[in-house]
Parts: sequence; C-alpha cells; structure tokens
Amino acid sequence: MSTIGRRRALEALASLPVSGGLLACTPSPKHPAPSPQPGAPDGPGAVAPERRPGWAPTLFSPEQALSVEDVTEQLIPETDTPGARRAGVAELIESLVRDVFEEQERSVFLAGIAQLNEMARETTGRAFPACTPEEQRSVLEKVAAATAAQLAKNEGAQNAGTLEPVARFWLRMRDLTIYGFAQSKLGATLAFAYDPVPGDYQGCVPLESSDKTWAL
Amino acid sequence: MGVATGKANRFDAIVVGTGITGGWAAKELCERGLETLVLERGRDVRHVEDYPTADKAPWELPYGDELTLEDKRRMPVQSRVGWAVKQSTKHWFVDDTEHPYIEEKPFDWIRGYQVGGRSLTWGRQCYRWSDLDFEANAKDGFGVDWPIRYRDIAPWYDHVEAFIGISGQAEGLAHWPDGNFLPPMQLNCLEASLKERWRTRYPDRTLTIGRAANLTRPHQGRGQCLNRDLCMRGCPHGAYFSSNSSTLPAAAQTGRMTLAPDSIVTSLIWDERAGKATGVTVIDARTKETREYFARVIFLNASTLGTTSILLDSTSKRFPDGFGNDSGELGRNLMDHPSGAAFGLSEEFGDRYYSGRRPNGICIPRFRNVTEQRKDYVRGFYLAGYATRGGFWGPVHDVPLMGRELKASLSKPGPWYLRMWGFGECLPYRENRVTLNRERRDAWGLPLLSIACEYRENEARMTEDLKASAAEMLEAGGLKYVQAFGEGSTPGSAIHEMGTARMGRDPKTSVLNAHNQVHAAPNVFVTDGACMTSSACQNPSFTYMALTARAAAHAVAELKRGHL
Repeated sequence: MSTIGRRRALEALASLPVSGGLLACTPSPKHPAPSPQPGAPDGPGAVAPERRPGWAPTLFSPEQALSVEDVTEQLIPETDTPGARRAGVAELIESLVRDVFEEQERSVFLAGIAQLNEMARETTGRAFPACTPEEQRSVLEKVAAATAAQLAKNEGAQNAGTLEPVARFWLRMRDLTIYGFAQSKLGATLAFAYDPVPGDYQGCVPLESSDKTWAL
Repeated sequence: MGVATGKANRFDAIVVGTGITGGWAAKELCERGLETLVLERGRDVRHVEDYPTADKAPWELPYGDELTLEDKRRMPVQSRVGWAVKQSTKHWFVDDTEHPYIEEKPFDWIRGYQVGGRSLTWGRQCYRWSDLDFEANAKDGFGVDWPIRYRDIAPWYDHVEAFIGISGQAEGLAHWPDGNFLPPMQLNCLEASLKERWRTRYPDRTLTIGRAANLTRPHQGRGQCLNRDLCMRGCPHGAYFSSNSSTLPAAAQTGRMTLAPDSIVTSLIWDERAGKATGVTVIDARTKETREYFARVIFLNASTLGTTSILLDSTSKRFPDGFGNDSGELGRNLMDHPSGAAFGLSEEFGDRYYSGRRPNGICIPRFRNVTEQRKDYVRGFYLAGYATRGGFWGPVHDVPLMGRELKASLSKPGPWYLRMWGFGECLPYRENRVTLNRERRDAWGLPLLSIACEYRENEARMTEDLKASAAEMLEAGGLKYVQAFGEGSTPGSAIHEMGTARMGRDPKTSVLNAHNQVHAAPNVFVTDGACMTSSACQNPSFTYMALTARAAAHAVAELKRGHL
C-alpha cells in the first residue's frame, strides 16, 4: 500500500469510535418502499432484461442495483468461498443509502453510479452491468487509479469534497463492501473465522498460516 | 403494576429509580426487612426475557447495526455517543424528543429510562477510591471536604464486590486500592509486552487488566462471561452486573419488593406539621394519572440529574428553593470526566493472534499528582485501552486493491494496534449548575432541566497532559504512527455526570451528611451520582453502589433506633 494510503488508513482507524462496527447484511427492511430515484437513462447497451439483482430494490433502479451488486462482486468475488453477490451485500448497501445516508451523501453516491456507467459506455458502448466481468474490472481499475491520483493531489488539502462522485463512490463501496461482507452470513461463516460464543479469551495464541481473520 | 390508594400505598421504604444504585437500595432495604416500593419511570425489563438483541448475529441486525436518519431524528443527543447507541442497543436509550432539556452550554445528557437504567449499558469498570481522592478537596481547596474517608467506605466496597463479582489483578497500589477479585482476564500479546516495557521505563506506572464487573467464574448463581463482548445488549448468562441480572432479583426474592414501572416521581411530599418528607407524588408515565405513596424512608436513586430535578421541584414553605436546599448548593457543582485518546500501531507479533472477544481492556492507574505535585494542574487522570488486530482498515484504504487479491488480504489479520483513552478529574465549580425552567415543560408537565456546565482551565491542562503522556508512552513502548487526539470533550460525554446534591460536613455548604441523608430531612437519602462531592477520575458506579449499601444499612439501623 502506498505511504499515503497507509497514513490515511491510520488516521481513519485512529479516529474510529471505540467499538466501531460498521455494517451487516440486513433482512428485507420493514420500511414502506419509496419510489426509486431515477436511474441512469436507458441508452444504447442497456442491461439485458434477463439479468436481475439478487433482491427487490426499493431505492435503486435495476441498472443502479446491478451496478452496485456487480461492483461488490468485483471487489470480493466468489472463489472457493462465496463472494459479495451471493452474500447479499448490495441489498445491505441499498438499505444504508436509503435510510442511513444523509441526503447529500445519497446524491453523491447515486451520481457516482451514474458516472461509473458513463465511463463504461465510453469504453464499451454498454452500461456497466452489461459489460463482461473483464470489462468491468478494467473500468474499475481506471476508477481506482483516478481515485488514488485525486487523493494524492488532495493530501495537503485533506478535503474529500473535491473528489469526483465516482471516486467517492469507489471509496464508499470499498468500505461498505468489505465490512458488509464480513458481517454477512456467508462471508462471516465461510470466508472468515466465526465463533459466536467463544467461551474463554486467550490473549496470545499462535497464528497458523491457515488461520483466518476473525469475522467479528 | 399499579398500586392503588389506601393501605396499599404505604410502605416502610420507597426507592426512586432502578438503575445501578436503585437496584442496590432495593436489595439492601428488602433484605434488611423493609417492605419497599421501588418506582421506575420507564418500562419493565426482565432479565433475559426482555433483551431483544442479545443473541442476534451480525446479519440479523438491520442497517449493519447503524442508526438510521429517523433514529437520529428521535435521538439527536443519545446518538452523539455513536459507539454506544446502535440498532442493537438503542432501545436502552431515551427518545430525546420526548425528554428534552436545555443546554445553556453543550452537555451530552445520556439517559436510559427503563428498569435497570444505565446498569444495562454501563462500562463495568470498577476502581476503588482512596484517601488521595477523598482528601483532595480539603487539600487543594476546590469544593468542600468529603465527610467520609476510605476507612468508612472500604467495608462497603468489600460488601458490593462480594455480591457483584469483580474480576481483576491485585497490584498493591495505595492510591488505587485492590479489592477481592475474581480471576483476572488475560492481557494479549501487545498489552503484555507493553506492561513489561513500561515497568522499566516508567517505574511509577502500572499496566493492569481492567477491573470489570464481568464474571470470570460462576458467582452467586450467575454464569461466567463467555467473551462475546455484547454486554450492552443485556447478557443471557447474567455474566455482568446489572440491576436486572442481580440486585432486583435478590430484592424480589425477599418477597418484600413491590416494583412499579411506568411511575414518574415528580416530587417529595413534605409534611409541614411533621417536619419531614412523608412520601412521593407519582405521575403514571402512560395514563398521566397522579398518585401518592408514603413511607418512613425515601431513597432517591433516579440518577444524578433525575434525582436533583425531583429535589429542585419539591418546593414548600420550608424549602422554597428546592428540597433540602438550605445551602444553595442544590443543582450546583456538576461534574463529569474530561477525556482524551491516543493510538499506536505495532509492527511486532505478526505470528500471534487471540481468540475470544474480551469485554474488558487495560488500565493504567493514575500516576499524576500522586507523590509529586505538578505546577500546571491539580488532581489526575487514568488511562485505559485495549490492543487488537484487524479491522480491515488496511485493505479498505488500499485504493486499487480488489478482487481475489483483496479477498485474500481480508482473510489475514492486519497489524496489532493499541487504542488508549483517559478520564480526568473535573473540579467542583459552583457555576457548573442545573436549574429548572418552569416556563418550559414536557409531556408530563414537568419543568425542563437547564444545564450550564463547562470544563475550565484545570481540565484543559490535564487533558493536554493526558494526551501527551499517552502518546509518549506509546512511543516508548515501540509503537509507530502514534497519534493523540480529542479536541476537548463535551461535559456529559463520559456518561459519568455527578454532583448537584453533594455530601459535606456543613449544612451551610452541602445538601447531604456523611450518611447521604439530606441534612434538613434525615429520612431522605440520596445515594446516586448526585451525592458526589468531588469526581476523582475513576469510573464512579462502584463507589455509588458502596455508598448506597452503606446508607441503606444506616437507614435501617436509624429506623430501628427510632430516629427516623
């Protein structure tokens, strides 16, 4: 990780509240569904009609929902254990965007999704969810590179507000997906070490190469 | 559980509040033979049955356990302590829109209005005071002298410990007295190494495991802690002390307790002819009907500001400025603990981990102004913290990392790091005070409490030293990327608010005597945080519990002697 990334990471960690748990997968929210915000306009290369997100979105348009779901899976893919798509992380993210985010955060996030799809269309002629996984990866690598460059430029200014929406979207998606995955049932129980009732506390045990991070 | 009028509203004793001290008053008074009415303004919470989130897995909590905007709209003050108030615990904290108060200066008034009060959500850290604390006011002239010393309360610390169970490690420090501990929890690798390094580098400082009211073996019929670190949700094993798990069941077992939730005590009833308080007026939280209850002895344990609100609103010809307020000190000398924090990263112990989630941290007892006197501030602070590895902050901030590589990096724990914070003593200032605003009332017609409290120069200088000391220690311990932070904490944010009806030797300058009796009305006892004459820096609940048990024993003895 770059020195800048590490420093930012440490600043963020140092200022976390003491028990800074963030996110978990949510069952379907007990919330009357508001009408979805307008998504990116249907243009050339819209999403194939048979592709659907893994839940019934209450805020996102189908394209927004699939964009978010695909980004989560690009971040944490299925390997020998389930990835973020099967773990339902995108549904959790939608609930946060809908009910936890402030209005300003929400509109930046949605603008970030829109900008992501714009970038996808520029290179492939298709919306992000209609791209192949390799194409999606390539778009996200561009997004990540642009984000890193903007962060490096901002470092003196310490001002996330000057980042473009897609960069802020990328940063948010990274932390929401990572923490959301770690707190999901499939993520916590299969990709991490999960022990709901440890019993005793052992303060200094050997870490074997096969040992995984504790989910909690 | 409504109690009708007539004989059914007369008791030997009334206890107002079921939080950490109300539960103790109930237990002690009932066990010592008194028919006791225990009034709680909030709803009932039965141990285990009424802990809705105790066994929820992370994915069973909505919104990743984060509060929604709607939650924050209803709890704008409670949500200031975001580390405590989550989806899994928000039901233990008040709806601020239903319970407004006036912040003349910023003050985080964090409250729990239910049976058990904040004993459900407390931090469980228990440290005895010593005479360094009890003598402080007399020695440096701030506030008035405590009317007691360590020898008066030591047997009651013993008494409370024997019942609640406190795990910890004896360290032999005169000013941070040892107790009778259950086995201590383990330090982890980084903490143990810092203990050793600091032992040589700082011979007058000690790193010890937290002294916590979490059981490390079964105790008094309650189960041992299973290291889930979900205490604040309520423990299905009863492994930490709360009124709900411990004192209220003990009181109920005597058959002498009548517990009445949804009963808001509005004022004491003062009988002019008899020259004593004879009972309390209650407004039903749900129906708003009023009732009166009578008793020979009344214990006010409604929490610091809850109790003082009742006293301030109990006016009469005898007490025009609030019950027992001959001194003018009622409502004054409000204190909390200013705080600061620090952080450092370790590059060691990469091949070591831990198992279990210890609900307790480390403690570095006060080392300032113990033997030597600093010139920049009086009194002192203590440091607490914990070491851990992981969280995923490394991968989170590695901006280009994604895919298989990201997933692989998450599955390996990150570096060890230590988080530290500290609590400092706040001096008693008369100007830090609360009053009632009778122009503004809540839904039950009660006047709003108006709080004017701020930290001043001594607190500011102490906090600077707290942060600087912590950072220096982390560097000396070999940690990297050390930072100290906290730009001045808001009073109330430590959730240790105390004072406003202080104990003292002289009725002209205090509200309560050496046994927590109102000077002018000895059958009224105040044993929650309101009674505190100074704040020390230790987490205060253990001291409140000891004072309560001591006062209850005195109340019963005085009743038997015919003095009340």
